[in-house]
Amino acid sequence: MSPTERRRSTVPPRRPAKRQRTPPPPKTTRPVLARTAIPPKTVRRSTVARIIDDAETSLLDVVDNLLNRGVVLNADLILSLANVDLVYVRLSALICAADRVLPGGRR
Amino acid sequence: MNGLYVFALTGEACAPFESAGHAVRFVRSGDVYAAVERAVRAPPVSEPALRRQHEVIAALGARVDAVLPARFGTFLAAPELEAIVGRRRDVIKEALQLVQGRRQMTIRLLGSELAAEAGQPRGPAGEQSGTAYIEARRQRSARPQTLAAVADAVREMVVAERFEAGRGRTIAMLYHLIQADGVEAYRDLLAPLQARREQGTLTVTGPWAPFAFAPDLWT
Repeated sequence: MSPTERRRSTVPPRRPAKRQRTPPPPKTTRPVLARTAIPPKTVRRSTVARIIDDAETSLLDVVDNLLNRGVVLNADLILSLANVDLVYVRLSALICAADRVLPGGRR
Repeated sequence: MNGLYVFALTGEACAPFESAGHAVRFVRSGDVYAAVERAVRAPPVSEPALRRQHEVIAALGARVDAVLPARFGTFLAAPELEAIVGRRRDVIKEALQLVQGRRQMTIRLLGSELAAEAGQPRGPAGEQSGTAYIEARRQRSARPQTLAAVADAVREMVVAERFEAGRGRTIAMLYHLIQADGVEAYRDLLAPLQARREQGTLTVTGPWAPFAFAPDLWT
């Protein structure tokens, strides 16, 4: 196939070039996405609702549920002499308000 | 040290699962199971870590019927877990029976800091003596009338109850253990009391895993 035949047989050369130019990806896609996706306002509102709604897990409940009865702290202690490890102590400490853990504090 | 980070004790096991980035599996100790994750250390206390653990326990509650949440930071070697469960087995089994098919509801009586301090006796210069402080703490541990009314309103539904004096804005807290299918009815019964704001604001949250009814493994 000669170069002239190729030109004749193809769709006018300007068209594809125009098509490539007309939809500039950033300009056309962004507004479409903005319209179809949930607007940012709605997302923010639902987040706020999640924080204050009684039925959802608020931070107060998370802290109360998990920390009210104290927290366990762990530590590893190695006593060494002249770079020789001699004693290994493993500590687990329960940190808690007295009235939350002692039998007298429970009613 | 490699060990087990303990999320909860349960009465049964389910298939291992992932929740909030934690790979939860079950370790058996006689007829009690522990929901654990193999780890090198316990996670440091932070809001995301607390939320993730809370999520794991909620996921456990959806999979098994009786869950006793462990304290945050419970990190043990496998033999230690076995020893602790063995020592407290009867208490654990009793608690598992109590919480089976049940959920915790949390009631808080909220007031202002000023109202909380108003009841605390002070000296002529406004200072508070140690005796006065202890006396105020003792008085504060008494159950407020509003919470007594709450307890009366839902008495029929409550399987177990725990009261705690609050701190700061929280005047007091009441934890109720109720049947899992009774949450809506429970809320309906308390709605009229929530509308009345005589002693403070009453908030009801839940259903939760029975955090307040899990036995202490350490003492």
